[in-house]
Amino acid sequence: MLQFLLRRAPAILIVLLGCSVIAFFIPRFAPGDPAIALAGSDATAADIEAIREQLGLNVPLPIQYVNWMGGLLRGDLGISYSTMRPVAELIGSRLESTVELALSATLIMVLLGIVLGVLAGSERSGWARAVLDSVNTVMLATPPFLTGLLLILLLGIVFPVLPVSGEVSLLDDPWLGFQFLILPATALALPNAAVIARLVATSMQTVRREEFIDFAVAKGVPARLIRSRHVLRNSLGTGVVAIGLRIGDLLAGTIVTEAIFARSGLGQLAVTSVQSRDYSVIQVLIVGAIFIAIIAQLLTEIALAALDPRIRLGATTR
Amino acid sequence: MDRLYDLQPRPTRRSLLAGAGALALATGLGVNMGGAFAQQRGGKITVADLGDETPRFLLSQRATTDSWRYLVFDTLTRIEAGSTEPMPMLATAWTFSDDLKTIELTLRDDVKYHSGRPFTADDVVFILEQVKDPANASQVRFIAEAFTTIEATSPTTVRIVSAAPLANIFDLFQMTPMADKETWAGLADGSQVVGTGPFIWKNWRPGAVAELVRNENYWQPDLPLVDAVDLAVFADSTAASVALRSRRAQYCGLLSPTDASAIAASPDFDSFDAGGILYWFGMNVTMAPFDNKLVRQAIGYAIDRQRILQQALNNVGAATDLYWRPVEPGYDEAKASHYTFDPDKARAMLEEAGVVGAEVPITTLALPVTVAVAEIVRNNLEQVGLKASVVRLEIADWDSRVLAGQGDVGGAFVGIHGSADFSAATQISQFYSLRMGNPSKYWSDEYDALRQQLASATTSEQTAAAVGALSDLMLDEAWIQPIARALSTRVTSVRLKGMKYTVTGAPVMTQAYLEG
Repeated sequence: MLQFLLRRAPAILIVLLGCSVIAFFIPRFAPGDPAIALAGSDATAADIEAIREQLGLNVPLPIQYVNWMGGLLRGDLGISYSTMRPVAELIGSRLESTVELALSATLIMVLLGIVLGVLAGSERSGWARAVLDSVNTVMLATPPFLTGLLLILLLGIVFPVLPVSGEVSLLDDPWLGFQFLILPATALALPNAAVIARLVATSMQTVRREEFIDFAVAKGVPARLIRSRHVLRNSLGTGVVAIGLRIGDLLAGTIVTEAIFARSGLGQLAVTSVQSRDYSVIQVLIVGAIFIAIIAQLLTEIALAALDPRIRLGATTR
Repeated sequence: MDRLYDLQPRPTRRSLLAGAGALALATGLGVNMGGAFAQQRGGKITVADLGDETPRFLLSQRATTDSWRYLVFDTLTRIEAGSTEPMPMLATAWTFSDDLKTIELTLRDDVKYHSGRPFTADDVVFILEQVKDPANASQVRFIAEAFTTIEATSPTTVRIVSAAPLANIFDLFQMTPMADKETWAGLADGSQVVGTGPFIWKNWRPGAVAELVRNENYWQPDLPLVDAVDLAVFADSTAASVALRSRRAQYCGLLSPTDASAIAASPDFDSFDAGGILYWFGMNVTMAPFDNKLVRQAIGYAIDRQRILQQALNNVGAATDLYWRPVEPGYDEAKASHYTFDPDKARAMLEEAGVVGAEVPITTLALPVTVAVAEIVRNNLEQVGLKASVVRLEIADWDSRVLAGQGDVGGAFVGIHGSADFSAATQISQFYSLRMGNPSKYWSDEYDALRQQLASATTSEQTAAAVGALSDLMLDEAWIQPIARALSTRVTSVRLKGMKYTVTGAPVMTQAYLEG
């Protein structure tokens, strides 16, 4: 595995370098800048220029980029234009919230996706299959913001049994923190779980038609063992790839989910940073998100190799 | 069904204050405490803020400072909602010279900063100098720039001499919190936010929450009443509404008109309409067809202001053709309804000008309310024969064009101004739609002279004359057309009592308490 990772390292570094250029320059092409956003609605041109000077925005862009990269290599992520706080501190203070939400949602997504997928992919009666397909379709068709609003209305306002606004850290109060996580994590996970369920179910139905399954049946292998050892194991690869891909969507979904449930995570930090043109925060978040996507992709490949001995890490097709 | 959680601490019934009005009189604070009423002490108020706090722009009035400026800081004087008279705060008395160019202030001698340091005249001098610094983005910098002398004549007296009459000096005082000069630099990153106000800035997690706690040594005895105030940041109006309905928050001053009216209709909430927001329609007089005055006047008759008020602004406020607040000397009710909705007349004027069928893109900020206003205007203009469309600009894009001069906003545009409750003399210099370099590109010698006349007025008669003449000119030239003066609805839980507001609608929680 180490060899696999070492072989991937140059490509990863090139991707991250390319992303850093994009992350630095693209936000600066948008109209407005931090000084205009900070100056307020009735500011004069003199106000804006004074703030621009104060923030160092008059320095040529290539020099700003080099300074930023130099800082990154030294572990200094920069200073937020909006709050004048270190970017690392801002991200650090929001990271726990997003990690808690993303991990909870991932857990629900994986469990629910695989359970629903296995139920739908197994041999069922017609009505049971119709019910499972309907549930899956509704989950698939309902975006997180709609699920979130419905959950808030139902379980937060009509029957107020769960908190629907704000958050409490799991580290500070695990029980209360868990209650705050249930609804946003569920809203975020449901559509992604439906995708995984559908892929697993389809894959199981395909595998069941393979000759080796007929052979196992002919040998008298019990149906339970056929389902778990032969059908399921050979179908999960698709699910694992889907999980790796859905994690990116899930992270993107946290932006809306955090807004609806008033959680102060990285998604909200990204939104407010874009609105206030806080380049120093935006560029770190973009590079960080790409880094996470790369890690998720690597983990997917490692998991696939563990599931299927025929797949060797880093092997290339000839 | 029982809740699994309860985050809102219950107020403790530690004491009962009675006869608070008498208390105010006895201590000579000049603070309106209302009549005798029962107040419960303790508890925490959670404010639903839309937008992060910006302590570095303490001297700039904006949504991200208004919710907490009057909690952590005091000003020299304060004008409360519904009033035009300044109320003594850190300044107890003031005298003007006959020419209105000098003011002598007497300060309280019993006030301390949250750091424990006494508040003195040197602090006033320091903060007024900061108002002059463009980097602090104070909207009343133009008033301070005319100051020729700001001096502390004793620890409790300050003398200000200005090159221009100080007719709107109380607008400056209202918008200038007296921060601690020794920790001024800490405002930049919010690490030190030190004032003399009823609450102490204890902790700030940018983008999440600012925690304020009771100032036990506040100069108004036995106040404030609650132990703490949390300023929680919400991404949008819907999330803030959820926080109110789920009892997480007890106050929000920035809900969208739709959310505010929906919540205010509930018996669980009270509402207070405060702070003027002016919606206006502007035209670039250097671009056809708006380089023709007849066309601009026709637009005035084409816009259905009442419909805009009812449909886009939930009928909170009043339609108007004037920028000025109704209590302004020289405000004329007849002039405020000069352009009555008359599409036939508008169409006839446009036909006379030969511009029927002209294409008119209307640019506006991508805010729900301004877009709604622009859409109604578009509909109005189509009714009178123009081919109108709406162009939305993100706020940063809009600001970069109208404030920084990076491009323009086209021939026609719908804009918005907050702080529409300040004096005409302040508005005329503060609002970018009225000052030199405005997006309408309008300027004339007559306009300039009338602006000077207003700025140098030293009596209400002179102000009235200048405001009246300016009103006539603006209605005739019609380059800028006010549409409506809307009020912003502040929503509070019925449990939250004793709230007060400044003239601009900023909350004051010195006497606020939680009931039940």
